[in-house]
Amino acid sequence: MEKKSKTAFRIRMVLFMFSVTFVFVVILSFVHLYTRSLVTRNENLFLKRSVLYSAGLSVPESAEELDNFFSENITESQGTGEYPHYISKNNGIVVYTVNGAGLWGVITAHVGFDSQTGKMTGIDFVKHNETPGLGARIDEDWFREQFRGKKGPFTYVPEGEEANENQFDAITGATGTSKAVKDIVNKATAVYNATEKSE
Amino acid sequence: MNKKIGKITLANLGRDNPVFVQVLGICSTLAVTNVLKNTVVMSIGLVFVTGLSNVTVSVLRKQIPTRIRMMVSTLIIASYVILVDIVLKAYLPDVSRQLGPYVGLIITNCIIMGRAEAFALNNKPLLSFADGISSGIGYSYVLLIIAFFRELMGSGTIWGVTVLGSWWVKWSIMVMAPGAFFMLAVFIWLVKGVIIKDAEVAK
Repeated sequence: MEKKSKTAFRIRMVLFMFSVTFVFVVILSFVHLYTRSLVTRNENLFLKRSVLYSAGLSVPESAEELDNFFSENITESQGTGEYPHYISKNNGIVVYTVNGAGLWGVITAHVGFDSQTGKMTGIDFVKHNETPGLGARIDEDWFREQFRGKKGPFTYVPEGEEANENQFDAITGATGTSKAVKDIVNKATAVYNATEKSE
Repeated sequence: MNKKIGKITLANLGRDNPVFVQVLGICSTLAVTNVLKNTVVMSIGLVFVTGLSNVTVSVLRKQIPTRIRMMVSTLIIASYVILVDIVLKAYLPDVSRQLGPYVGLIITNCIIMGRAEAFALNNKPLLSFADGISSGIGYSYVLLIIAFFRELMGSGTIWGVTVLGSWWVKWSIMVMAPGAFFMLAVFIWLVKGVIIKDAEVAK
């Protein structure tokens, strides 16, 4: 008798856990399915904004204009190498997607070049895990804007002392991240130069 | 009933505050308080999750077999956190991008599990809801105070707006984890030493 009730108790535990899990997973799945298109759309828009920003082109505010502007001006290309890039036909701009090792994880950036002058048109960070308040300041405007119209290979100088075409202001308190950014822009410059020569 | 709710709420905000009295949920206190904006979103998420998970656990409290109660609570908490994460991704993509992995970390916040285990399993849904929400708020305001000072001293800004001019030398340590330890310790010291000292002596 005692033994039987124990088994019943165990079965009840398993069944209970199973049904609770089932109910919650079903609810979450529906929410996920319902918002999935919205989530992918957000990611897609973010990517497009980032490409246009690093190409130095104006970024339309509304999602619809952004889509139109993007499809009119930008062609995506897998390229010959491992670096996928975006080409703006009318303006002669190439934007590369480059990865580099940051302080806490991989930093992914879009780096744009003007193929007439070989100068950078801009940079934007798509993904990073840098320290908020220190390394994460690479997302701030002053940091990204300073690369426009410059030409690599780069070196960095203390914050506020940037003077030459191949220098950029590092971030105080975030030397590791600054070095990672230097490596990323220099890698992008190398990739750009290599493809330009081969063409 | 109303009296009881008021009593619980007051206790959670002051004498039994989850952060500076029970010293729970410290991991997130350290992680998200270097920028005020992240702290606010984290706090809203936490209040939502503690409130709802407490209600759910409380509703199921008579059915949950005691042996597996922790598993069930964790499952409920995790489900609500995933819900918050999905909603942020869909409707507030910028905030979600900034918070990154922190939203998922709400699951491991000891306050939520603590309230489910200590309160919701033994009390009615409405009371548990009040307890969850007030615990969340008790956690939130402490975090906001800490974040305010950390952002101000570490970055010279409040809510991303520069308030201290270039004369201010930024305390870089304040935006890193050690800064949070210092701030939290000073905060607990002040509160315990000055405000609730009398209460402890009276006991």
